[in-house]
Amino acid sequence: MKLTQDQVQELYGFTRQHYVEHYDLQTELVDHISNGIEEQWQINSKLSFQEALQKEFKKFGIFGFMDVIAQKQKLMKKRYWKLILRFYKEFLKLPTLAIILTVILCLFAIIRSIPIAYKGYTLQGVLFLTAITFFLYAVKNKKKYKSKNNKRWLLEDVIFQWGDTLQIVLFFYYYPFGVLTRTANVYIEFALVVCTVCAAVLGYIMVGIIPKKAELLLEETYPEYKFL
Amino acid sequence: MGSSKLYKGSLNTIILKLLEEQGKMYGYEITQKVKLLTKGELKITEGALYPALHKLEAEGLLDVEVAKVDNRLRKYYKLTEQGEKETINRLAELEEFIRSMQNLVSPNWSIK
Repeated sequence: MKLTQDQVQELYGFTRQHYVEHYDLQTELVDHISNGIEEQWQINSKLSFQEALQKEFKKFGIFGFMDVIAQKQKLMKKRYWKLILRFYKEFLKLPTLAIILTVILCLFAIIRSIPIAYKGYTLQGVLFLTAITFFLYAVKNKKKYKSKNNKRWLLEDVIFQWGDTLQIVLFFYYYPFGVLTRTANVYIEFALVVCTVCAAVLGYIMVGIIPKKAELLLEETYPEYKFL
Repeated sequence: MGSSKLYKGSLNTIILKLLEEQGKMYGYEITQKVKLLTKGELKITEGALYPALHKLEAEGLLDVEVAKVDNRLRKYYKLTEQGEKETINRLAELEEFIRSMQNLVSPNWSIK
């Protein structure tokens, strides 16, 4: 005896009720439970769908699907950072590398020409404006994503969650710039300019590049994506 | 018997070995195959199997294929090229471990 389409859909609902929110993981668990139920029916065909389902669910232990969800989330975050690294490496090739170096040199020249007392504030200002621009952009991306009524994918959630979070972190990345108001050390100035530009590139990748390529990245990550 | 604890540390190697032999398998199939091969002595819990599979996939040792079977989608796992090499290494490590354990548990006491 096999599960009907309605029963399969009921299992998707069951996984959602047990905090499995993402379609990728739901699909795998639904197939697993379905196999278990069908095997139980081979032994006892009188067993109801609900009874067989509860028996299968018990096999996941007292925490239910929690272990599976937690591990998957951890791995997906790692995958996201690997994606960032991949795009970062692409950025460090010509012609974008030339643009980055030009921005660094221009910003450095501006900082060198500013009186010591204002150097730190200028760089903080650049960082603050960059972070706030990306933050607003990320919020806009997120709104657009939330208005989509499609199935949720873990990687997609991570892509649209982290964009704004990192910008908030950048707001607090101020302390090192204070040294610029006390020293005229050219190396420290250069290092902080490089850090500021690198942070801006990171923000651009997280907010401007990866969300735009989300569809492609989902296809690359999930073989089941093409079935929808 | 609590022998499941002894198998626990070798779960990933067991999965890799099974996939090496079978080509491709889905999660439920792995649990059933292990139960069959160990005559029910080792029951891989669902809560341990999927985190292990997802980790091996993230490490690039497994590749995933999806097929539509009986009204639903099924995810099959198979070894990548890197996974095939790693399986050989891990099996060698496991064999070495078993040899060492045998020496510890039943050492050769003969005096030459």
